[in-house]
Amino acid sequence: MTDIILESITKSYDSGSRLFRRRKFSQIWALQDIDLKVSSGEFVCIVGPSGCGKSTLLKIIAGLEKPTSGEIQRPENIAMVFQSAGLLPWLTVEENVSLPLKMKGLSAKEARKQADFYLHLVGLQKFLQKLPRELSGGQRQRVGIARALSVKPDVLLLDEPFASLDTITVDDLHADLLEIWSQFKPTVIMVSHSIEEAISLSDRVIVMTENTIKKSIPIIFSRPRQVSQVGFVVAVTKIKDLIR
Amino acid sequence: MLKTYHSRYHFSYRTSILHHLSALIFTLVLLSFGLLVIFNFLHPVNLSDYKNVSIYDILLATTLTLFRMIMAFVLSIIVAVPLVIISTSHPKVEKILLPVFDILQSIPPLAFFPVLVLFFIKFNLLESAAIFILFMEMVWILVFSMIGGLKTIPDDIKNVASIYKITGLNEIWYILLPAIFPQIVTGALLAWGASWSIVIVAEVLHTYIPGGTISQDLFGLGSLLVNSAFYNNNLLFLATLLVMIIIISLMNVLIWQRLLHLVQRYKFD
Repeated sequence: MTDIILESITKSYDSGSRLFRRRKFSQIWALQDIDLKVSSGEFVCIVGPSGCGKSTLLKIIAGLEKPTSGEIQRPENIAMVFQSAGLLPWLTVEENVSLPLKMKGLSAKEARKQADFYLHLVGLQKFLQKLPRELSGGQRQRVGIARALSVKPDVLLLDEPFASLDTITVDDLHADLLEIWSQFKPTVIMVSHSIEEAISLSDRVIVMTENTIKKSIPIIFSRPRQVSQVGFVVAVTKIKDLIR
Repeated sequence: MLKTYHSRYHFSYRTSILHHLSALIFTLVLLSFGLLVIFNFLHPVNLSDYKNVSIYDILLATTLTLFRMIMAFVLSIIVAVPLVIISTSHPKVEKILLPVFDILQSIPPLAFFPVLVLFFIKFNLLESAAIFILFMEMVWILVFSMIGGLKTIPDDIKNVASIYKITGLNEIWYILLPAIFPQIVTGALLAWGASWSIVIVAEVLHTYIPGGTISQDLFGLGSLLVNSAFYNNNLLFLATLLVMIIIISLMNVLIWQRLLHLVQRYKFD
C-alpha cells in the first residue's frame, strides 16, 4: 500500500462567461496550492466552510476530476461513498453491491457471495432483496459503505456521507465506520461539514478555507471520544478559530 | 404499495427487463418482416371499389398497419439509442450534433414524402417508403426524450460508474439504458401517438405518385379509412375508425399503462 501524496495541486474552472474572453477574468479558482500527504492506513477528515473546495479536493483524489496543475500520487484501488449513497434504484441491495464485483471479473455467484458478506457486515442481511427506495436513509448509506468495502479498497473516500441523516443514525454509523476501519485498515479520507464528527473519528483534521489548506491538526487522544472531553473541546475551539 | 409492486414485477439484472424487452422486440421484428414479405405476394387485395370489404379485411388491415408501425418503431429505437449515446459522449460532439438533430427534427416528414415516394417507387419498395416516413416521425421524438433522460442522471450515479470502473458497453447496459428507460417509454408513447396520424397518409401512396391508382396503395387501416371516405362507403369508414380506436385503447391498457407502472422502479428519487 502506498501513501497519497498531492503536490501543489490547483484547480480552476472556466466560468463560461463569453463577456470576459480574457482568461484572467473568466477563471474561477476551486483549489490553490494544495500540498497534502496521507499515510497508508490513516483516517483523515477534511472540514471547512461550504464552497472552500473540500469536495473538489476529494474528487481530485478520487480521480473523478483532473487538477489544472500539480502532481498526484495515489493507489489504484479506490472506493467512494457518496452523500446521496449513489445506489442504482432499479437494482436490489444485493445487486447494487455485487455489480462492481462483477465488473472486476468475478462470476455472478462469487460476486453475490462477496456482496452478501459485506452486507452482513453492515447489518443489512435481512434487506438483500429490497430495492433502495424501500430502505431508510441510514440503511442506504450502509449499502453504499458495503459496496465500497466489497472492492477491498486501499483508500476509502467519503463525501459528506452522513450529512442528511438524523443524529442517532449518525452515531451508529460512526461506531460502525470506526470498527470497519480498525478491522480492514484502509486509508480513509472523509469530507465533513461537522467539526465534531471530524474530531470524534479521525487521526487528523485538515482545515480548509478559501480554496486552500489552512492547517492540519492531529487528534491524538484515544477513541472512543466524547464531546465533553477536554481535548475534544480544545480541538473544536481551535478549528472554529481557524475557520473564522 | 411498494411490496405488491415488487412481487408483481420480480426482475433482477440477471433476467433484466431489458433482456425481456429486447427479446420481445426481436421476435416482433422477425414476425412483422416475415408477414410483410408474405403479404407482398398476396398483394394487391382486390378492393378496387371498396364495396365488399369484410371484417376479415379490416382485421388484416389492422395487422399490417401495426406491423408497419412496429418495424418503424424498432428501427427508430435501433437508430436513436446509439445516436443519443454518441451525441452525449463528449461536450464537443454534443455541441455539433444537437443543432443538427434540431434542424432535422423540425422538418415535417410529410413535406418530403412525395420526393421519397418517387425514390422508393423506382426500386419498387413501397412498403419501405411507408416504414421510412414513420421512422422519420418517431426517431426524433425518441432521440430528444432520451437526451433529456441522460441529462437528468444524477452526478453521483455517474461518479459511481467511474469509481467502480463500470465503463464502455457495461456502462451503457448497466447504467445508461436503465437510467433512461422511463424516458424511452414516454418517448415511445409520444412517438406512437404521432405515428398514428402519419400512418393514415403514409399508406395512401397513390396520391403522391403522378398518375397513381388505388392499387398502388398499401393495404392497411390508413388506406381503408381514406379510400372508404373517397368511395362514400360510410359503414366501412365508421367500422375502420372504430377498430382503430379499439386498437389504440387496447394498446394503452395492455402496453403503455403497464410500462408506465414498471418504469417507477427506474426513476431516481
